[in-house]
Amino acid sequence: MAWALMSPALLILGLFGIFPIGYAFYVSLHRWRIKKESIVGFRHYTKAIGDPVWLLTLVIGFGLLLLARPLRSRGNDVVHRLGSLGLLLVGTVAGIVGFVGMSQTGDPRLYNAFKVTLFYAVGTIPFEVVGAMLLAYLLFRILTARGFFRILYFLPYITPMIATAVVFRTIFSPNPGSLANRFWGMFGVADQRWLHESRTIPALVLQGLGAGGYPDWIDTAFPSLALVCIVLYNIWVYIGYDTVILLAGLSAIPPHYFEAAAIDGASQWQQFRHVTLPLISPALFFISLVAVIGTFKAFNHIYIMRTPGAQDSVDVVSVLIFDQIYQYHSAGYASALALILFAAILMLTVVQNRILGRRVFYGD
Amino acid sequence: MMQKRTWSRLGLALTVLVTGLLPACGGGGGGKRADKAVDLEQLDPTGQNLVFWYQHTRQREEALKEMIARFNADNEYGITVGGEYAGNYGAIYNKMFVALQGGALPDLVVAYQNQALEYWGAGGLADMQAYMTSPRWGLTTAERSDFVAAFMRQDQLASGVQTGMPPNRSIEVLYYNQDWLQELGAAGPPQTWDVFAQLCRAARDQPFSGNENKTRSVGFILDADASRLASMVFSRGGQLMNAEGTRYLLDTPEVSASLALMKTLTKEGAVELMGEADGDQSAFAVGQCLFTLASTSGLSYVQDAVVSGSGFDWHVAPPPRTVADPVVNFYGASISMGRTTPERQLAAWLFLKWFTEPSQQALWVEASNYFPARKSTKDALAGYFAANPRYRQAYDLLEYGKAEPAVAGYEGVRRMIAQTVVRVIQGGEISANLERLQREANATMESD
Repeated sequence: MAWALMSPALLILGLFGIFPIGYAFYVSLHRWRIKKESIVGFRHYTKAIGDPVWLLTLVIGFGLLLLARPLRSRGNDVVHRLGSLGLLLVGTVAGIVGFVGMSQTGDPRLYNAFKVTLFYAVGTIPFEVVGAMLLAYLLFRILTARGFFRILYFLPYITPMIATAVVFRTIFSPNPGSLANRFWGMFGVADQRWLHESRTIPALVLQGLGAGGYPDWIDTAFPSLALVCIVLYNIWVYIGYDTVILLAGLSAIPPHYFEAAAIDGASQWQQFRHVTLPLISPALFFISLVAVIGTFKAFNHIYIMRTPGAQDSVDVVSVLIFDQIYQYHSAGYASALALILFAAILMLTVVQNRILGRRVFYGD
Repeated sequence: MMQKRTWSRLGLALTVLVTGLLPACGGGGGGKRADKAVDLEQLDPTGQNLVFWYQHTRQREEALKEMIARFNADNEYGITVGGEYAGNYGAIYNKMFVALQGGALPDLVVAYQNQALEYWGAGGLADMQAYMTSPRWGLTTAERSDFVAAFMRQDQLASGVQTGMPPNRSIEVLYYNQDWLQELGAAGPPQTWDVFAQLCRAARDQPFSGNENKTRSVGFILDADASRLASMVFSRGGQLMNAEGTRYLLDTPEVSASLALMKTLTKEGAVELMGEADGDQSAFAVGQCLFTLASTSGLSYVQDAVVSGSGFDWHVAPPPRTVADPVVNFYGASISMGRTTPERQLAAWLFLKWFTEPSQQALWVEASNYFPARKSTKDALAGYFAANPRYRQAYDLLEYGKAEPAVAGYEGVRRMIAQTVVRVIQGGEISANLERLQREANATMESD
């Protein structure tokens, strides 16, 4: 009876959840340009992530790091302390050596795409969440026109992404008459190439200051100007969505908590820190989880806004996967990349869940 | 214990589901296929209903639909063609990708040569050679030689397989502002790249009288596109790929010289790197840019833009060159036949044969602004030539056509080329960038 009741859900989950993943794995084991050709085993995976020996080194490194804490907690004597420290050191070195080895033997485009994805996520999520928190708190405090502002902030999220991305592409056009160039022109900044610029902001600043040359790492250690434009777009789209979720969380807090805190002499900041923040932590956790997954899967607007001028400085992993199928006609390799991305998102979600999940307050 | 058993059952059920479905999706394809040898002469195409996937929209689609309706009404076999807009070239490729896994292939599909090569490799296309040479259904020798040979060759594999038929083509030409050239004291369009460079510098220094924004005046706006670079390389006697189609040639002196000239002129402010889509044609139309290198399929667009822009006299010419004869880059998608059933394939061929007849070609040319694939169409185009003199100018360049590579993965290489052009123009070192381009492009030939 239980199986009969579960079967519709299992069927849907299997067909649309598990089966595509299984099939992608099957495709990834083959040379598969447009149809299945020869079997290649795990060659696509080693081509992408590099020599398995380095992967093993990385995994051992992580394993040692994970062991360090339990060892330390077993005792406070010198042996345990030194042992724990040794594990930390060896684990860190092994992790770094493994990662460097992988990146040198793997597909440089994949490692670049992961770097770009990381820049994109780090540039987006903190600003998006903090900005949404501020907006939600302001909306929560004002009593008039709250509905109007809520709709206003939500509009970018419900407007078709393709349309708004095209508008942003025009705003950040290198044309001297573009909105971005006109705006910065008022501050004396020379016309920029925006979405067509592969160089980073520090590099452009140095160049603007007349520095003849700058070290290569300046162009690799920071996001390109083109990516910064896309990050701004992403924040603009999702801040309204996050605001509405957080506002719902704020509205659910019983007002007498604030009254009690005020009677006890808590300042506005103390009320926010000790009443508001813990009580909306489930909503904050939810939006940060969705934002991490969303930024790692982002595709549509990046695809619309990318230009040849930006080189590969805006090519996140999902864009790389798309190119492998539709430009290089290599579905097998693309499937391997997709599964590597899937594994990365899964690991990140687990880590996020373990680190942030413990701090979430779900009530007594 | 109970929970453990439930999980193992759940796992078993999902495993069965996944493993059971995997073989079903092996891309075997279904339906009765035209695999075994059949006597083409004895086939009967009567009453076949065909599906035709194309990318045309607006006036072109309307004209195509009218033509299809006429074929459906007039053909003696009662064949019915159903034309379907299937999105742009990329979307059609996506649909074909899915169709090839499932087996529901269209009878006719618009495809670029590199895409057709993929479909052929996946067993999704019919070889047209037998249909073309069939005594009963095919083309006569005279009809076959009436096709522009270079166009036809684009769809031929080394083994002689014909993966598609060219209904039309476009070429890449130099659009120039005749009035501005006169103001600069030039007698005509540049014949060589040196003269082109001189005129670009002159255009930078002396804006066009009809330009309302004289702060912007350049000779040329460079679109970082593989076809633009191909035009420049062809005009210097170079190629983008070897004759065997096995290796890209992207680090040659011709590629290097083309990029070096553009880099120098950009540095001098005589050439600009294009920022927005069609930004070169927009600037050309308002007299801010003396030359633009673009496809002839945009002739009517430029015509309208110039009329509503600065309203000057403009013409087209072959790109400047270092070789004796002009060379133009020609391109365009062909129509391929899906591998379906012998009867359907024959019916599809009959439609294609009809569609490429000179009388239909003339109608199609007038509706689309494309160039016809058959030489004798010219006779039926006298009125159109008279009304469209620039089209006529470009038409006369057809015999100088040269094509870009038609290999799988060229779409990706095009993007690599565009990125390299930008890198070089923005200050990158030419030889190092071309070396990298050559290496990465050739790596796609061996990709899994």
